[in-house]
Amino acid sequence: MASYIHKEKFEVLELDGESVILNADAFMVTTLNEVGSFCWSLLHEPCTIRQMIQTVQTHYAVEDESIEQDIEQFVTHLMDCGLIRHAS
Amino acid sequence: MEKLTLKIGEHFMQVMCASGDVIHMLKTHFQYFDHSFECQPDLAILLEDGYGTPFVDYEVHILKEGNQISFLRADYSIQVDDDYKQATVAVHDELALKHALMNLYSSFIVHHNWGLLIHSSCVIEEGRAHVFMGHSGAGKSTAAKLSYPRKLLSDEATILKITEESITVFNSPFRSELQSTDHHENCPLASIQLLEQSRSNKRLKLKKAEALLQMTDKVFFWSYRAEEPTKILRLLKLVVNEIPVYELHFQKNNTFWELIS
Repeated sequence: MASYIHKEKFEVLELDGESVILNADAFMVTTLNEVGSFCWSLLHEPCTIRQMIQTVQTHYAVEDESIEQDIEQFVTHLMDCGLIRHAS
Repeated sequence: MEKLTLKIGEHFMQVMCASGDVIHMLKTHFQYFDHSFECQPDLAILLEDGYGTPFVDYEVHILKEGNQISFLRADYSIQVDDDYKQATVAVHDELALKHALMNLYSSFIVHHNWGLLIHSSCVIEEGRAHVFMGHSGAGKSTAAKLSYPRKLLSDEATILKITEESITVFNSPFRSELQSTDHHENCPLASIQLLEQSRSNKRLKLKKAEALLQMTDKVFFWSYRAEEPTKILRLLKLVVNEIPVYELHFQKNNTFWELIS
Protein backbone atom coordinates (compact mmCIF):
# COMPACT_ATOMS: atom_id res chain seq x y z
CA MET A 1 0.00 0.00 0.00
CA ALA A 2 1.24 3.51 -0.82
CA SER A 3 2.84 5.43 1.99
CA TYR A 4 3.26 9.17 2.28
CA ILE A 5 5.71 11.59 3.91
CA HIS A 6 6.28 15.35 4.18
CA LYS A 7 7.67 16.67 0.90
CA GLU A 8 10.25 18.84 2.68
CA LYS A 9 10.76 20.70 5.93
CA PHE A 10 8.03 23.34 5.96
CA GLU A 11 7.53 26.21 8.38
CA VAL A 12 4.74 25.03 10.70
CA LEU A 13 3.18 27.32 13.31
CA GLU A 14 1.13 25.84 16.16
CA LEU A 15 -1.81 27.97 17.30
CA ASP A 16 -4.14 26.63 20.01
CA GLY A 17 -3.87 23.03 18.76
CA GLU A 18 -4.30 24.01 15.10
CA SER A 19 -1.49 24.36 12.59
CA VAL A 20 -0.54 26.77 9.84
CA ILE A 21 1.84 25.38 7.20
CA LEU A 22 3.76 27.64 4.86
CA ASN A 23 4.90 26.39 1.48
CA ALA A 24 7.16 29.39 0.85
CA ASP A 25 8.19 28.38 -2.66
CA ALA A 26 4.55 28.31 -3.76
CA PHE A 27 3.51 31.30 -1.57
CA MET A 28 0.78 29.06 -0.15
CA VAL A 29 -0.52 28.81 3.41
CA THR A 30 -2.57 25.84 4.63
CA THR A 31 -4.38 25.59 7.97
CA LEU A 32 -5.08 22.31 9.72
CA ASN A 33 -7.52 21.72 12.56
CA GLU A 34 -6.60 19.65 15.61
CA VAL A 35 -7.15 16.25 13.98
CA GLY A 36 -5.44 17.41 10.79
CA SER A 37 -2.47 18.58 12.87
CA PHE A 38 -2.29 15.17 14.53
CA CYS A 39 -2.36 13.43 11.13
CA TRP A 40 0.30 15.85 9.83
CA SER A 41 2.56 14.86 12.75
CA LEU A 42 2.30 11.21 11.65
CA LEU A 43 3.70 12.12 8.24
CA HIS A 44 7.15 13.00 9.60
CA GLU A 45 7.84 9.36 8.73
CA PRO A 46 6.43 7.25 5.90
CA CYS A 47 2.82 6.41 6.75
CA THR A 48 0.05 4.63 4.85
CA ILE A 49 -3.57 5.74 4.88
CA ARG A 50 -4.46 2.51 6.72
CA GLN A 51 -1.86 3.23 9.44
CA MET A 52 -3.14 6.80 9.75
CA ILE A 53 -6.74 5.64 10.14
CA GLN A 54 -5.80 3.11 12.82
CA THR A 55 -3.67 5.62 14.73
CA VAL A 56 -6.41 8.25 14.65
CA GLN A 57 -9.04 5.70 15.78
CA THR A 58 -6.80 4.68 18.68
CA HIS A 59 -5.74 8.20 19.66
CA TYR A 60 -9.27 9.64 19.64
CA ALA A 61 -10.97 6.38 20.76
CA VAL A 62 -13.36 6.34 17.80
CA GLU A 63 -14.48 3.50 15.59
CA ASP A 64 -16.48 5.60 13.16
CA GLU A 65 -15.78 4.28 9.66
CA SER A 66 -16.52 7.65 8.09
CA ILE A 67 -13.08 8.85 9.17
CA GLU A 68 -11.60 6.57 6.49
CA GLN A 69 -13.12 8.76 3.80
CA ASP A 70 -12.10 11.91 5.68
CA ILE A 71 -8.49 10.81 5.92
CA GLU A 72 -8.34 9.74 2.28
CA GLN A 73 -9.61 13.21 1.33
CA PHE A 74 -7.13 14.80 3.74
CA VAL A 75 -4.21 12.98 2.13
CA THR A 76 -5.44 13.90 -1.37
CA HIS A 77 -5.70 17.53 -0.26
CA LEU A 78 -2.15 17.56 1.12
CA MET A 79 -0.90 16.02 -2.14
CA ASP A 80 -2.77 18.69 -4.13
CA CYS A 81 -1.18 21.38 -1.94
CA GLY A 82 2.28 19.95 -2.61
CA LEU A 83 2.92 19.34 1.10
CA ILE A 84 3.44 15.54 1.00
CA ARG A 85 4.77 13.02 -1.50
CA HIS A 86 4.80 9.26 -1.99
CA ALA A 87 7.50 7.76 0.21
CA SER A 88 9.79 5.64 -1.91
CA MET B 1 19.71 69.31 -3.86
CA GLU B 2 17.60 69.54 -0.68
CA LYS B 3 18.01 67.32 2.37
CA LEU B 4 15.01 66.27 4.46
CA THR B 5 14.69 63.71 7.23
CA LEU B 6 11.36 61.87 7.23
CA LYS B 7 10.14 60.06 10.32
CA ILE B 8 8.05 56.96 9.60
CA GLY B 9 7.18 54.72 12.54
CA GLU B 10 10.28 54.88 14.72
CA HIS B 11 12.60 55.28 11.74
CA PHE B 12 14.48 58.25 10.34
CA MET B 13 14.80 58.29 6.55
CA GLN B 14 17.22 60.87 5.17
CA VAL B 15 16.09 62.00 1.72
CA MET B 16 18.25 63.88 -0.80
CA CYS B 17 16.24 65.29 -3.69
CA ALA B 18 16.68 68.00 -6.35
CA SER B 19 13.00 68.16 -7.37
CA GLY B 20 10.98 70.92 -5.73
CA ASP B 21 7.74 69.11 -6.61
CA VAL B 22 8.82 65.91 -4.87
CA ILE B 23 10.05 67.82 -1.81
CA HIS B 24 6.68 69.59 -1.64
CA MET B 25 4.83 66.24 -1.78
CA LEU B 26 6.98 64.83 1.01
CA LYS B 27 6.46 67.89 3.20
CA THR B 28 2.68 67.65 2.61
CA HIS B 29 2.28 64.02 3.63
CA PHE B 30 5.14 63.10 5.96
CA GLN B 31 6.45 64.15 9.33
CA TYR B 32 9.78 65.76 8.45
CA PHE B 33 12.76 67.65 9.80
CA ASP B 34 14.74 70.11 7.66
CA HIS B 35 18.44 70.07 6.73
CA SER B 36 19.51 71.35 10.18
CA PHE B 37 18.31 68.12 11.84
CA GLU B 38 21.27 65.92 12.73
CA CYS B 39 20.88 62.21 13.36
CA GLN B 40 22.19 58.92 12.08
CA PRO B 41 19.49 57.90 9.56
CA ASP B 42 18.16 54.36 9.49
CA LEU B 43 18.01 54.58 5.70
CA ALA B 44 19.45 57.16 3.25
CA ILE B 45 17.37 57.70 0.11
CA LEU B 46 18.39 59.50 -3.08
CA LEU B 47 15.08 60.49 -4.66
CA GLU B 48 14.61 61.46 -8.31
CA ASP B 49 11.65 62.29 -10.51
CA GLY B 50 11.08 61.98 -14.26
CA TYR B 51 11.04 58.18 -14.25
CA GLY B 52 8.95 55.90 -16.47
CA THR B 53 5.28 56.26 -17.40
CA PRO B 54 2.05 56.96 -15.48
CA PHE B 55 0.58 54.07 -13.44
CA VAL B 56 -0.08 50.95 -15.54
CA ASP B 57 -0.69 48.21 -12.95
CA TYR B 58 0.52 46.96 -9.57
CA GLU B 59 2.96 44.44 -11.05
CA VAL B 60 6.41 44.84 -9.43
CA HIS B 61 9.41 43.05 -10.91
CA ILE B 62 12.07 42.18 -8.37
CA LEU B 63 15.71 41.57 -9.23
CA LYS B 64 18.63 40.64 -7.01
CA GLU B 65 22.09 41.34 -8.41
CA GLY B 66 25.09 41.20 -6.09
CA ASN B 67 24.14 43.11 -2.96
CA GLN B 68 21.52 45.22 -4.76
CA ILE B 69 17.78 44.55 -4.75
CA SER B 70 15.65 46.27 -7.40
CA PHE B 71 11.88 46.77 -7.31
CA LEU B 72 10.67 47.90 -10.73
CA ARG B 73 7.21 49.12 -11.73
CA ALA B 74 6.20 51.11 -14.82
CA ASP B 75 6.02 54.29 -12.74
CA TYR B 76 8.77 53.74 -10.17
CA SER B 77 12.14 52.13 -9.59
CA ILE B 78 13.83 51.30 -6.28
CA GLN B 79 17.41 50.14 -5.82
CA VAL B 80 18.41 49.25 -2.28
CA ASP B 81 21.40 47.44 -0.82
CA ASP B 82 20.58 44.20 0.95
CA ASP B 83 21.41 45.70 4.37
CA TYR B 84 18.74 48.35 3.74
CA LYS B 85 21.09 51.27 4.47
CA GLN B 86 21.04 53.14 1.15
CA ALA B 87 18.40 53.37 -1.56
CA THR B 88 17.85 55.18 -4.84
CA VAL B 89 14.22 55.80 -5.74
CA ALA B 90 13.00 57.23 -9.06
CA VAL B 91 9.33 58.07 -9.59
CA HIS B 92 7.00 59.33 -12.29
CA ASP B 93 4.43 61.23 -10.20
CA GLU B 94 2.84 61.59 -6.75
CA LEU B 95 1.07 58.21 -6.85
CA ALA B 96 4.32 56.51 -7.82
CA LEU B 97 6.12 58.33 -4.99
CA LYS B 98 3.61 57.10 -2.41
CA HIS B 99 3.62 53.52 -3.67
CA ALA B 100 7.41 53.41 -4.00
CA LEU B 101 7.91 54.61 -0.44
CA MET B 102 5.32 52.08 0.80
CA ASN B 103 7.16 49.34 -1.07
CA LEU B 104 10.52 50.44 0.35
CA TYR B 105 9.29 50.98 3.92
CA SER B 106 7.42 47.65 3.99
CA SER B 107 10.53 45.80 2.79
CA PHE B 108 12.69 47.75 5.27
CA ILE B 109 10.61 46.86 8.35
CA VAL B 110 10.32 43.19 7.37
CA HIS B 111 14.07 43.06 6.71
CA HIS B 112 14.66 44.31 10.27
CA ASN B 113 11.94 42.05 11.68
CA TRP B 114 10.47 45.24 13.16
CA GLY B 115 6.89 44.89 11.95
CA LEU B 116 4.44 44.91 9.07
CA LEU B 117 2.53 47.29 6.83
CA ILE B 118 -1.06 46.04 6.70
CA HIS B 119 -3.76 46.93 4.15
CA SER B 120 -6.29 48.35 6.61
CA SER B 121 -7.57 51.41 8.43
CA CYS B 122 -6.98 52.02 12.13
CA VAL B 123 -8.97 54.07 14.65
CA ILE B 124 -8.13 55.17 18.21
CA GLU B 125 -10.75 54.62 20.92
CA GLU B 126 -9.84 55.57 24.50
CA GLY B 127 -6.11 55.34 23.87
CA ARG B 128 -6.24 51.93 22.17
CA ALA B 129 -6.02 51.15 18.46
CA HIS B 130 -8.56 49.08 16.52
CA VAL B 131 -7.73 47.87 13.01
CA PHE B 132 -10.30 47.36 10.23
CA MET B 133 -9.26 45.17 7.33
CA GLY B 134 -11.00 43.43 4.47
CA HIS B 135 -10.96 42.76 0.78
CA SER B 136 -11.19 45.68 -1.63
CA GLY B 137 -14.56 47.38 -1.15
CA ALA B 138 -15.29 45.69 2.20
CA GLY B 139 -15.47 49.05 3.96
CA LYS B 140 -12.07 49.90 5.45
CA SER B 141 -12.27 53.59 4.63
CA THR B 142 -16.05 53.61 5.24
CA ALA B 143 -15.47 52.28 8.78
CA ALA B 144 -12.78 54.92 9.26
CA LYS B 145 -15.10 57.73 8.13
CA LEU B 146 -17.99 56.41 10.26
CA SER B 147 -15.68 56.44 13.28
CA TYR B 148 -15.40 60.25 13.31
CA PRO B 149 -14.64 62.10 15.62
CA ARG B 150 -12.27 59.38 16.81
CA LYS B 151 -8.70 59.92 15.57
CA LEU B 152 -7.26 57.80 12.78
CA LEU B 153 -3.82 56.24 12.64
CA SER B 154 -4.36 55.08 9.06
CA ASP B 155 -7.02 54.84 6.37
CA GLU B 156 -5.23 52.51 3.93
CA ALA B 157 -1.93 51.12 5.23
CA THR B 158 -1.42 50.50 8.96
CA ILE B 159 2.09 50.43 10.45
CA LEU B 160 2.40 47.70 13.09
CA LYS B 161 5.45 47.37 15.34
CA ILE B 162 5.53 43.76 16.47
CA THR B 163 7.46 42.38 19.44
CA GLU B 164 6.98 39.40 21.76
CA GLU B 165 5.71 41.80 24.43
CA SER B 166 3.44 44.15 22.54
CA ILE B 167 1.92 45.26 19.25
CA THR B 168 1.97 49.02 18.63
CA VAL B 169 0.32 50.99 15.82
CA PHE B 170 2.16 54.06 14.50
CA ASN B 171 0.57 56.93 12.65
CA SER B 172 0.76 56.14 8.94
CA PRO B 173 1.72 58.76 6.33
CA PHE B 174 0.53 56.36 3.60
CA ARG B 175 -3.00 57.74 3.32
CA SER B 176 -5.75 57.29 0.78
CA GLU B 177 -7.96 60.31 1.46
CA LEU B 178 -8.21 61.06 5.20
CA GLN B 179 -5.11 63.06 6.04
CA SER B 180 -3.25 62.77 9.28
CA THR B 181 -3.80 65.34 12.02
CA ASP B 182 -1.18 64.21 14.51
CA HIS B 183 2.05 62.67 13.19
CA HIS B 184 3.38 61.84 16.63
CA GLU B 185 0.64 59.53 17.81
CA ASN B 186 1.04 55.81 18.41
CA CYS B 187 -1.12 53.39 20.40
CA PRO B 188 -1.16 49.81 21.63
CA LEU B 189 -3.23 47.60 19.36
CA ALA B 190 -6.40 46.26 21.04
CA SER B 191 -8.31 44.44 18.29
CA ILE B 192 -8.48 43.57 14.60
CA GLN B 193 -11.73 43.45 12.62
CA LEU B 194 -12.21 41.68 9.29
CA LEU B 195 -15.04 43.62 7.66
CA GLU B 196 -18.21 42.43 5.99
CA GLN B 197 -20.96 44.96 5.24
CA SER B 198 -24.29 43.64 6.50
CA ARG B 199 -27.87 44.60 7.46
CA SER B 200 -27.11 43.99 11.13
CA ASN B 201 -24.10 44.28 13.40
CA LYS B 202 -22.43 41.11 14.61
CA ARG B 203 -18.89 40.37 15.82
CA LEU B 204 -17.45 36.83 15.89
CA LYS B 205 -14.03 35.98 17.29
CA LEU B 206 -11.88 33.94 14.91
CA LYS B 207 -9.62 31.08 15.88
CA LYS B 208 -5.96 32.05 15.72
CA ALA B 209 -5.08 29.86 12.73
CA GLU B 210 -8.01 31.22 10.72
CA ALA B 211 -7.13 34.78 11.78
CA LEU B 212 -3.55 34.33 10.61
CA LEU B 213 -4.71 32.86 7.30
CA GLN B 214 -7.08 35.80 6.74
CA MET B 215 -4.29 38.29 7.43
CA THR B 216 -1.67 36.83 5.10
CA ASP B 217 -2.97 38.54 1.96
CA LYS B 218 -3.48 41.89 3.75
CA VAL B 219 0.26 42.46 4.22
CA PHE B 220 1.86 44.90 1.78
CA PHE B 221 4.91 42.99 0.67
CA TRP B 222 7.01 42.25 -2.37
CA SER B 223 9.16 39.20 -1.73
CA TYR B 224 12.46 38.49 -3.43
CA ARG B 225 13.46 35.31 -1.59
CA ALA B 226 11.76 32.38 0.14
CA GLU B 227 12.85 33.44 3.64
CA GLU B 228 10.72 36.57 3.55
CA PRO B 229 7.25 34.92 3.69
CA THR B 230 8.50 32.87 6.66
CA LYS B 231 9.47 36.07 8.50
CA ILE B 232 6.06 37.56 7.74
CA LEU B 233 4.27 34.45 8.97
CA ARG B 234 6.22 34.50 12.25
CA LEU B 235 5.38 38.17 12.76
CA LEU B 236 1.70 37.46 12.07
CA LYS B 237 1.81 34.63 14.60
CA LEU B 238 2.95 37.11 17.27
CA VAL B 239 0.02 39.36 16.30
CA VAL B 240 -2.70 36.69 16.49
CA ASN B 241 -1.25 35.31 19.74
CA GLU B 242 -1.53 38.74 21.37
CA ILE B 243 -4.50 40.39 19.70
CA PRO B 244 -8.08 39.12 19.25
CA VAL B 245 -9.20 39.03 15.61
CA TYR B 246 -12.91 39.28 14.81
CA GLU B 247 -15.15 38.97 11.80
CA LEU B 248 -17.22 42.18 11.98
CA HIS B 249 -20.51 42.30 10.09
CA PHE B 250 -21.47 45.96 10.17
CA GLN B 251 -24.22 48.32 9.09
CA LYS B 252 -23.17 51.48 7.28
CA ASN B 253 -23.48 53.65 10.39
CA ASN B 254 -21.47 54.10 13.57
CA THR B 255 -23.45 51.62 15.73
CA PHE B 256 -20.84 48.91 15.19
CA TRP B 257 -18.71 50.70 17.79
CA GLU B 258 -21.10 49.37 20.47
CA LEU B 259 -19.60 45.92 19.76
CA ILE B 260 -15.99 47.13 19.99
CA SER B 261 -15.74 49.58 22.88
